[in-house]
Amino acid sequence: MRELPSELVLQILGELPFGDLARCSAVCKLFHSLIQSSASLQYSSHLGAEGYVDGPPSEVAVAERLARLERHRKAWHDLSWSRTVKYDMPSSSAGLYELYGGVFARGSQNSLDFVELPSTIRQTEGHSFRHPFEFPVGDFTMDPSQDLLVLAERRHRKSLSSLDPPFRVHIRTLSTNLPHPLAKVPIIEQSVVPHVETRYTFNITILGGSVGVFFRADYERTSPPSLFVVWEWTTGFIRSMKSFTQMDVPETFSFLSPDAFVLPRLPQPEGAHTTYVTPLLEIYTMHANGDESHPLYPRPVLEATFLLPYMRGHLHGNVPIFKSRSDPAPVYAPRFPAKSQSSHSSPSTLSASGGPQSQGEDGEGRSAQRPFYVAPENRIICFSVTPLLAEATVLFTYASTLLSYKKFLSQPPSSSPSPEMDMDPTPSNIFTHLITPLNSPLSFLDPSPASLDAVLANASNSTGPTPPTQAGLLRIPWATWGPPNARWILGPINLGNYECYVYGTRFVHGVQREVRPFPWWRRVRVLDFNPVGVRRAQMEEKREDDEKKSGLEGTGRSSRRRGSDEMNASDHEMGEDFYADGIVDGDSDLDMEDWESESDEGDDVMWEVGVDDDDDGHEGANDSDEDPDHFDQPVWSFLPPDADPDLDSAPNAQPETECRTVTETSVIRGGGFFLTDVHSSLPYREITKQVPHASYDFMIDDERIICLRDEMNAWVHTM
Amino acid sequence: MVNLVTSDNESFTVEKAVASRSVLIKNMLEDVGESDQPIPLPNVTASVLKKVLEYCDHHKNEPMPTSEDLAAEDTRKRTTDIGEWDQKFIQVDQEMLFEIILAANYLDIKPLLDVGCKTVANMIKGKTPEEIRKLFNIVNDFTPEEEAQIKKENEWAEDR
Repeated sequence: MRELPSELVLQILGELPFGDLARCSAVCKLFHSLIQSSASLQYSSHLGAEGYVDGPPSEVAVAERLARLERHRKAWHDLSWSRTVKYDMPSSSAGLYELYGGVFARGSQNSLDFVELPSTIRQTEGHSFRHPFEFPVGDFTMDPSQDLLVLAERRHRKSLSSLDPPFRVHIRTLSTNLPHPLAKVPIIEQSVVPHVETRYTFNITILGGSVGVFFRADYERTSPPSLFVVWEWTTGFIRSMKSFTQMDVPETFSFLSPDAFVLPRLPQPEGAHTTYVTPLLEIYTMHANGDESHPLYPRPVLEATFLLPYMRGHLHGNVPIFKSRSDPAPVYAPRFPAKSQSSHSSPSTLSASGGPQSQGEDGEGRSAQRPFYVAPENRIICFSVTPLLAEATVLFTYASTLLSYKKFLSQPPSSSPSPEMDMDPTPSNIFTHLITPLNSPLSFLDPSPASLDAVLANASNSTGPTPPTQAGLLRIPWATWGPPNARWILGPINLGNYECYVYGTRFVHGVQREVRPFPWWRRVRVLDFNPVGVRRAQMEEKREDDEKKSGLEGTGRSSRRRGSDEMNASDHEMGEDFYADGIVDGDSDLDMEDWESESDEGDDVMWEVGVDDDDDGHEGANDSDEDPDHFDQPVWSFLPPDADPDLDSAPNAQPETECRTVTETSVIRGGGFFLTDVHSSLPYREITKQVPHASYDFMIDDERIICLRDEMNAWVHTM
Repeated sequence: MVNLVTSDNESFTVEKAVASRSVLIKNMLEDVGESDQPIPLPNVTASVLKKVLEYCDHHKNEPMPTSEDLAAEDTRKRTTDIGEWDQKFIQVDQEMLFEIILAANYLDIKPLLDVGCKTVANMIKGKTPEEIRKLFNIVNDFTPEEEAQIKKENEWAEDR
């Protein structure tokens, strides 16, 4: 191979994934120097390590893409965001929001305010615009790369005696708020046939050329049907339709691939005294070429059901909320401007938004393509279990794990059930076990979680002495798939009201609660499940540890590995330290000083807008001294960057940041949240950083963390 | 028909459509116009050209890759699959494989070059540095210190 000219060796190496590329650079000096000196090989290697893929072609050359990727990686590594922008949000009762494709939108049923957030990887400034609507919007979502805005119309019955009209889903362009030119049917109608007026919630996800809408009926005595429909939005054809009755309605759905989705289900406890249930993750596929038996309403196919460990099903009669969340959609490929996108200075935009906008119009265009983005297969999906008035316990796994159900279906549990349990898996037998008081030892059960899971799996799907149904055969017990491929983080984790807490392999939440009328968080924590990133960070940590092996063992936070159950205690400890240090939000002097000391390090650049610069002085739930005029002001105060921020300066060590990698198996003891001990070991990296202002909610996307201070102020930290 | 002469002085007469899979020959034919002059290929031996022409003959009716396709290729969005026939075709010994790659490069037959490079890449995938050296008869010219250093640098990329 060495006899080939370098250009051909490079081409061969260019076909290799990054792991093989790394091994090749250890083969000989020639390979090593070729790989080191080729921007294109370095770029593809770094993309692979990040779990990213290359963006659409643009004027940005490979070397520049590589440089931006490196900056991007380093920024996420320790949350050393390079820019902070503060937005004043409209303070009217805004119930709707979305963060997707670098656009944050918020609004009420009558109008939505959009802001394209500034981007460091695209090197664009943002702009804002507002769209009013002539119908009440129930919910919406958008995909800027397709210039697509999908709105579900809240229906109104014309008279008491009339039947409920169908739901309407509007397919529009994001830029103009006009019917999308690629949509043959710009308003899709869908009848759901309840005979009573019921409140419906909508859950919409765009999946490339498809859009999934979940029309979810609120719990009521006369449960009307809920309906999940996936349309091809360009043609209006139904790809898949599934209806739900009674209380059997999942909270959410998440697409796993262009053809598969998962529904998190929390079955009803089967008896009045049953305390524990097995939550289920049902994996469905959509027909590629239609469903012959139901050509008009193709049914999705249940391919497999992943079982979670037996957990407390209800507390004082309240069923916990079981949700899934994953972002972006598995076929998301950013493209700017979108193919069919027309100019942003459309009449509706101009008339609605009087504020400064379109700051970076000349920065848009070909050069503003996203140079790279999260690979569709490199996404985590989180499942949260939230009891009423409590915080969540969260399960993380890769979407790819759930997609490889075939592998698990052909695989027995890691340890086989004990024979006598296997012989008699009747529900009655099991449920007498399950009503055992929480704290009593469960020693009469096989202590191995594998066997118990297997038995429970059998128990929960066999309805009496009949042989297992086909659906039963498709069940994958927790012990078969969970422990090595998933990670439970035992709460409380505050998921907040803005449910944009996961993107790609990263998850964000607040830690270190402050004493407030409602929870405020002083620090933001990111969990990153990117496997290569975890390995890399672990090696680096190991090296650092080796270097300073001697000495430092007495430092309080040296316990890198702590079990998840200790987490609360130590966070609490941290909180006390903060109060002791007097860095309590509410004292503007201290707060700003703290902020400035960070700015001095040269890695944070901030612009502030809005009237109340001193908003640190008065806060809490009632910001009532707000200038009433504020409400009529343009939606987003958007700040242009002034001086060129020194983006290239390497991030300094930030004392307010803590990192650790978690690779060991965590054990959550049975008897509390779970019936039996639950092991899980998906590795992740945890980065915790103090935020300049206590925030009550956090959102994340591929290049930013948004801290919501209250309903008025959002701080956007861009990596 | 086109007459091609190899470095070892063997001549091949092939259809124009076959020879034109090579962008080099295609351009030559266009420059020269209608002519019976044999085209010399001083960088290709008869045994290799025979193999290459077999490839060209099989693919002669396919549309030539356009410049757009080539541009798309630059964005590293190549398909990693090799067609069934091509896979069989490229099952040759290592020496011939590299000869084919060199010839495809010289003759400017992009799809064949791709098939060749992908085949070599597939041979590399999943192998340790030592196995790769053995496979291609490459001498390890690192000092033990250098090797240890590089191994350390790349440790994180190991997926097993």
